[in-house]
Amino acid sequence: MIIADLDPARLRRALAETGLGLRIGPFIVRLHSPIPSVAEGLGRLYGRYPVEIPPVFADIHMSLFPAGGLRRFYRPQVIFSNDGYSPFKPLPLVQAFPFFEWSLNWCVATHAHEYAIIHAAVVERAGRVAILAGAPGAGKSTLCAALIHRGWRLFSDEMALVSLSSGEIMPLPRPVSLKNASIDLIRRFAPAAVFGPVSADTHKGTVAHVRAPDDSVARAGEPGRAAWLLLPRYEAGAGLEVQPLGRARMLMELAAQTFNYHILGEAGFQALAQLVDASACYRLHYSRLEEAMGFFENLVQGSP
Amino acid sequence: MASPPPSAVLWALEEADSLRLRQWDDEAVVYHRPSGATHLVDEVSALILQALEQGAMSLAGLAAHVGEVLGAGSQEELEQITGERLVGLQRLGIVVCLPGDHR
Repeated sequence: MIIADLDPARLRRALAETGLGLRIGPFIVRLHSPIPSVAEGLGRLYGRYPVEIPPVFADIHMSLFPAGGLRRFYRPQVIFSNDGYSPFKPLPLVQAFPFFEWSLNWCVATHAHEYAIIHAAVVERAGRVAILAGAPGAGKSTLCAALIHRGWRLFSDEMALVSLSSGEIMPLPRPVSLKNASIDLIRRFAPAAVFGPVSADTHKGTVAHVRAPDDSVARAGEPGRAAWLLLPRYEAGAGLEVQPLGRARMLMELAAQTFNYHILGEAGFQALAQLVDASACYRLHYSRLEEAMGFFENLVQGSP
Repeated sequence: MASPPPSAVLWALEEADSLRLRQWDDEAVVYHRPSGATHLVDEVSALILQALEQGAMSLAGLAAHVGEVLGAGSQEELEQITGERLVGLQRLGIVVCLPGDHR
């Protein structure tokens, strides 16, 4: 069964009463919430994902509930909890769906230590994986959203899961999170992209999520091997600039962007070393998406 | 009291089997197991660390090893370059200076 098999009323009821077990990449996420906007967001952006009701087993347990107290009458809020622990301050209730997405990132980054988890967008083409690493605001998600509308398979717009045991990259295809000017940029670049609700005035500014392509969701169980490691940076008005980067320097950059590097110790170092060993490494500065798409097309053709 | 001359000390890894080193082209990364820290080092530092993995060495011995591999420089120049790298590695807590053989 997939989410799209459920009519909206049944989805809302299941989410509110028993919770549901959502398979996302290698994880089963148990999500429990009585908040209608969470159900609406799932219906719009997670339609093709396998779901189990009630969930029997889950790797990650999440709940999103309205906050209690008098405040709920004049400024309703939502509280996230993971196994009964609430690591974040409540957010306005209207941000419940993006809060689910942000909280799920946190759950994966703090629990899935069988992987080196790199802050990166990840896409695949012809069996070869490109990892676009970098700090928030570097333009990773914008590039990622454009690439998945040009034939690249979405692995993730947020994190590369590098298996410590096999060195493979595991897909975690979820909606792509866009912020501020990137939202309209991608609307113009890919008119067929399906967007979820736009949330204004969040701590990240205005945010909206783009639905993952159906093929990427259907192939979420197919891992890949890295062929390219990139450090993209968006610079308004800049022409495309590509610089080869030494593997040792790239390893240092990846280590700085690996959420659980300090936890993994030597295993994390070896995983990153294996990754850079197998990959061509570049810095990429861009401002125009079409130019950047040309670069990625050349990568696939073997002449960056 | 004056410091002992450079030739009277030995250099060693802070701890045996404490490093994991990977080199690509003229740069390398070193993972220091006791601290969990990862450092970017140049080719000379990588050569020094590889040599020290075999045991403690003097500055002169390390400089000669660097010269053999890189194939350039007078012993004086090599000792200066090697000494600078050793001080840097010492600051990172990767190598230590030991009293040498004073006989």
